[in-house]
Amino acid sequence: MQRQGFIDRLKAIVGDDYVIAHPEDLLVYEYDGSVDRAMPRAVVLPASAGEVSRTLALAYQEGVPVVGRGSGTGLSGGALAPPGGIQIAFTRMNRILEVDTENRTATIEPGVINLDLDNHVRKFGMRYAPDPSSQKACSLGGNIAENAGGPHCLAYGATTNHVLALEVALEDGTMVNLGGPAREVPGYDLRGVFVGSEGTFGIATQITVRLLPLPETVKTFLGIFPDIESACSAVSAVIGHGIVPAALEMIDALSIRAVQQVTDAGYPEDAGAVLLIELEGLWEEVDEVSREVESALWETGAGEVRVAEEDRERERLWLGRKTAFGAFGAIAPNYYLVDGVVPRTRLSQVLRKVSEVSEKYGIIIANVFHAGDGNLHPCMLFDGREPGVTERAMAGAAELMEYCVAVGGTLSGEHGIGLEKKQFMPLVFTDADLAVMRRTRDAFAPANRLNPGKIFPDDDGFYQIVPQPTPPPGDTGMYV
Amino acid sequence: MTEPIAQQLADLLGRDTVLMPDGAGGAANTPELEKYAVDGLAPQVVVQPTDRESIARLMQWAAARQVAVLPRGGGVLSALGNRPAQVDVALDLSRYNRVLDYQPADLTVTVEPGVTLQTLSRELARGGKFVPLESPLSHRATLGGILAANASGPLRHAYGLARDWLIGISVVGADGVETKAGGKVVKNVTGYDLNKLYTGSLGTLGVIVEASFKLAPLMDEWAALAAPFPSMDAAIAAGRSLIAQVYAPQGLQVVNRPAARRLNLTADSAAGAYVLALFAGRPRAVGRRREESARLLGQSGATAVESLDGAAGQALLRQVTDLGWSDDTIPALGMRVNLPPTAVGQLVAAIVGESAGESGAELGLVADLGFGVAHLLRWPETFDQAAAGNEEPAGDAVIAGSLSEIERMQALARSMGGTVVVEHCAPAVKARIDVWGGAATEAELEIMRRIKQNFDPLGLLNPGRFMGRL
Amino acid sequence: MADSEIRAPAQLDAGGGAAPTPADVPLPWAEPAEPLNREPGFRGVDVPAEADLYRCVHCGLCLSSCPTYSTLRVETESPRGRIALMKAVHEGRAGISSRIVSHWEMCLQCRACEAVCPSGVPYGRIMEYSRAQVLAQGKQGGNLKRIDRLFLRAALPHPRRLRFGAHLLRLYQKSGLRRLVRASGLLKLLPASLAGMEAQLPELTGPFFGPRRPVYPAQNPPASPPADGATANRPTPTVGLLSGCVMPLMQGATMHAAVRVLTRNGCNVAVPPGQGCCGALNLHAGDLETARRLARRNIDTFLAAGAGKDGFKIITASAGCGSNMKEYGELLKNDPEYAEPARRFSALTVDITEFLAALPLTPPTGRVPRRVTYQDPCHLAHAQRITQPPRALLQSIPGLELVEMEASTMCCGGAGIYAMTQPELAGQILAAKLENINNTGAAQVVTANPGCMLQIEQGLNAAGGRHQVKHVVDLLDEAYGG
Repeated sequence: MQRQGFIDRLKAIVGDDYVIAHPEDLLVYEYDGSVDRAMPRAVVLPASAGEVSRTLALAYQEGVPVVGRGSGTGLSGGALAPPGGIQIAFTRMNRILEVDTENRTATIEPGVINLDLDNHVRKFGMRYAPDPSSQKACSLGGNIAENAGGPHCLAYGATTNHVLALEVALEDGTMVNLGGPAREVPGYDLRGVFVGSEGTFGIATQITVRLLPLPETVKTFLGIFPDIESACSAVSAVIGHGIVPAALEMIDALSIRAVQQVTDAGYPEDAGAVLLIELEGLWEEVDEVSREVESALWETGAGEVRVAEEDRERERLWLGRKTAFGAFGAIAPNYYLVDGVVPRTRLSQVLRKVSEVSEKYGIIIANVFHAGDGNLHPCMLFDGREPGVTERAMAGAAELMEYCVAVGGTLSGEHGIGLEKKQFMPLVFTDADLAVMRRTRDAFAPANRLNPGKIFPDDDGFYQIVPQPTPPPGDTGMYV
Repeated sequence: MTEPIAQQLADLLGRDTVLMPDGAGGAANTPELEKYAVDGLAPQVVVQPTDRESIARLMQWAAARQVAVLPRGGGVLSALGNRPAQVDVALDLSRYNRVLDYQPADLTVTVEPGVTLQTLSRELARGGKFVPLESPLSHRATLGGILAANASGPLRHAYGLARDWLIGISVVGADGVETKAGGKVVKNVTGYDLNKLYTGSLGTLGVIVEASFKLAPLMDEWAALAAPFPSMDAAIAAGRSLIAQVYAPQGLQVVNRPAARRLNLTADSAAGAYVLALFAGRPRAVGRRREESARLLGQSGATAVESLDGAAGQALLRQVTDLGWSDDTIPALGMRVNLPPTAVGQLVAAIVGESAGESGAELGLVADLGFGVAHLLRWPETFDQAAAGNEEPAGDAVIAGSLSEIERMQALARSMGGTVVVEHCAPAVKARIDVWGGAATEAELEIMRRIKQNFDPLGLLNPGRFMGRL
Repeated sequence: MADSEIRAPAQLDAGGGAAPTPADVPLPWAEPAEPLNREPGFRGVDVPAEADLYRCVHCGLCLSSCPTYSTLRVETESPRGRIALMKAVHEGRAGISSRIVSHWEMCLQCRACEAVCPSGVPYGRIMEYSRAQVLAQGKQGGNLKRIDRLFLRAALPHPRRLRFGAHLLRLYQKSGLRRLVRASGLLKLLPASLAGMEAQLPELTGPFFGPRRPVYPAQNPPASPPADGATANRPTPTVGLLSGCVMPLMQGATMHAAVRVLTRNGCNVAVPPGQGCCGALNLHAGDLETARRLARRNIDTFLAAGAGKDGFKIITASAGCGSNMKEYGELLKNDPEYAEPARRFSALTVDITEFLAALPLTPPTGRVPRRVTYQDPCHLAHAQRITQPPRALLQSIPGLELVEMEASTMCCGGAGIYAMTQPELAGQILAAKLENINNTGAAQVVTANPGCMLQIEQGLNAAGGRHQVKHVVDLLDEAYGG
């Protein structure tokens, strides 16, 4: 009855309605956007930092591990419950507390949705730059945990470059403020190392981010290419011209078809690949650079170049890009996203490897990615119900990750290591490297009660992942 | 006592790598070692490695003997930090200075820590790229030193800090083991972002042996505007209005009269302050920014607007960056105040108001209105005057004056959400304060202590110099 | 990932030692060997298709569009959560328990999630099949069960009963009997939900409408002649109008307006007798059999009346009905006799705003100097993806100012019988809608679906005043001079 007592004590902190503990209800908290699932022991939905702190203190005392959960859109299993652990879901802590137009900052609760913040501050002529594809759904708290990226990170940097201050609850419920309203804060950069720590250092309960002024001019290009090779050379040509656009995205033929099937984003369905390029800045800059971009696109074999200057047209082009991962559901019921980053000049080489892997393992792979950053997203599409196919997909993904590392790249550019990629960490880091990272975590969370079992390959070997789905045998196969 | 250490190191690392005290007896500090003194404390020996194996061996050796090691680059910012708790070995990394891997097309570069900013910038320019880092005395400042001290300059408003450009790092830890974090790609969430932890840690967590940066395309054009204003208030009001514009400059500083004099700004001898606007970018954009900025400054009450092209603009930028660190501008008391941008004006107003009229002019002020940082510089001669004829450079009155000024500034900054770092002060003052004082809460300090404890349990790397005397 | 390594299932409520450490806590998250409950799962043919369920890759992009998730902020009341529960039932991990049913029944079936789903999950369809399973197993929640029996089955399908009931109701409202009943406290004897329903009963003040044998003749020739100028020889098209069930009684005036607008735009309007309720509410409640019966009746009626010949389209002024009629093909796909006619019927169905906006519209000349705001009916915007045509029609009216409200495509909480089955949540959703409406400063709300008209009107009037929510065709009719 000890256990029942624990749930009751959680209820005493946040209220009866805000602890979810019935196993049938917990079915909906066992997944995020990734392929794994893990059922929490309970989900707590606090309304304030104080409730978060008290929940953590209780869990700490009881030896129950905890993970924060925003909207559950992550692609690395970061928000999945640790064994026997509880989730603190931030969906109720979703207030925008303050927008400081003069200092260009916003202070928010962690459950605020990325796009809601951006839309809100646009009313004041500002923007929140990091724009993950899931920005319509993902929370800022989750963005902090994963150091989320997005297309516009090419010019403006990832989440870490935009976080000023964090109010954080540590594993035992102690509250600490990291950073501050000033851009520079002396001392060890605790706020900097906290961002991207995947929920293992602490749980942010309040966040102050930096905002940017809206650019004077925005211009979006859709470069239409006969094949992915020529699109890759266009990427090199643009960067080689000394141009770092606000965003530079590639969408391959398969992804174009997947997107167009559900959402008419205006991508030509017979194209081999399209590049989505956005330029921002003063009118003079955009004007000058856009000519160079256009000529780079033509020179590298673009069949057509479309320019969108009106908001509605641009939104349509971006809608396709931002719904691409979801659109893969229309092709196959499962996808595994490889998030490798490589030096930009290696893109075409790595994409050739992607086709090889696709052929070798018999797995369809779609590519839609942040070409300007060299952040690939080969998406392994498969039907987990076909015997052996999941293993083949994983083996293919492993080979791709190894290749990315071999050409000077790394495992993950923006989605995090979490559960999904932790076994690949030794490709990049030695035991000594990982030991230093552990030492850092131990300074924040000595008892390792926050999101244990993530990131480190040999941590908590008892962690068992359940891939989904595992439905009874039915008609299998792709839907296209 | 000193002889064995130097001798052991010479045996371990080779004579070429170790700068030994001259004379076999080696009783006291030699002038050569004096150059490496930190807050007047000279090391017993200086190690100048040219490879990272030597650094690893040195650290293993030091760990075994509990010998304190003080890593340094060009020594430009060695005044920063508390008085060291122990000074044994100075680890001079300026000879470990190669550019290892420059990939212009990938916009990345990897360097050894001892390469100077000036050397790297020249090398990068050959491939049409630049790394938007700044430091005083860029011909001496090394990349390792810039990272450790988190050096920056007037362009920080547009380009951010070293933390925003560092993408990968290798460090030899206090145990002599080399480890890395990050990588050579511009976007990376593989493992914890220890780049951030090492940046600004003043060499207290490890010795940086390699660093990778992302790069930006080389700027085609540089320009600057220098606009005199009758008063500091007027200059700050104009600067704030300019920084909010869509055509805002990449860097914006407001300097008061004493600071302007040190920068040799002469457009208006009666000026109470200057607005300095710095521009970089493509020619047409720089042209428009400069034109519109000049017009706005003119309309905001500037008594003149001086335009500085290309080299002259860059020279002004360099001068502003060096102010307080170049030999002839080192202050007796120098403070850096980090603030939310709008608080900079308030802070300056408070200082000018409090020290009212004449004495207010004795203090040099350089305010970055875009980023939110103010430098307060009290130069020796004015300081002496302020100390009311006291002959001793660091007499009791001066010390007391400094201490009270530091305290006042800390309180003022705290009330505005900011922090103060004392960058320059007399040794006697330093002995009584934590130069990072009050910049972190006890809860933050506790985490910092645990980090230091976990990374350097014996406290051998730059002991005592960092915040909380870590 | 091998199954053999998965540990035994754990009971969440099982007792544990004091202060368990991660290592000795059982693993409640592991795949249970036993399902979470003993209830039966999906059975028979009317089940959510596996291919539909597994289109969902749980990306979460639907969350922000869902009215119940936006209000309650829990995953169990989100589209993604409801699909996860369907998957769990489909996979045999859980049976259809009353708890799972409660989450499904909390769904408004507004299909906002479907419209934004990047994978194209046909959410409306899988929810309807899930509801069918709930009904088949007798698991409907109390309110729904009562309303299903009393109203959806006993009244809706029977036009004569409805009309009789409406007459009675009008009598009740007009005679003062209601005042008596309300004053008497008799209502307190009813279950709360029924008492709430009494309060929600609309005022039946307008004229009734209904099917009739004569065709309403076109008033004008079509507005602009075809390119060849052969106006004289061009036959006047005939269209069929769905009369439906409740709308002709509660919003008869709107139906009459619809006829006038259509005839003024050069159409003969047939309202063939024999037709009736489209069956949408039955379908949403999972009563597929009744829904199919009603569909067959309408298919027979309209095809016999000439639908499909000479441009004879089937028009409805009710977004909910149109959405359902456009999906008769799916509903009857396994019916050997009706599968093909159903597909044909669906292809001929158009919403009245869609139909009018595609015409060269006879320009309205009367001024309607009014500031209005448009509420997108869910089944028009999400299910039929029609958002521009109604706005275009409104903007064609001289003097009328259309101001957009925030979240105009968010459900008003009416959702068919939802306001009766889930009164509390419907009230919260309505409150958010009313706030957005009030923020526009509009004098009138316009929409294109009878359910939305009732719900919003009732909401506005509960806050005081006498508001009339109008249909797009009401305003067009007004501009045409009635």
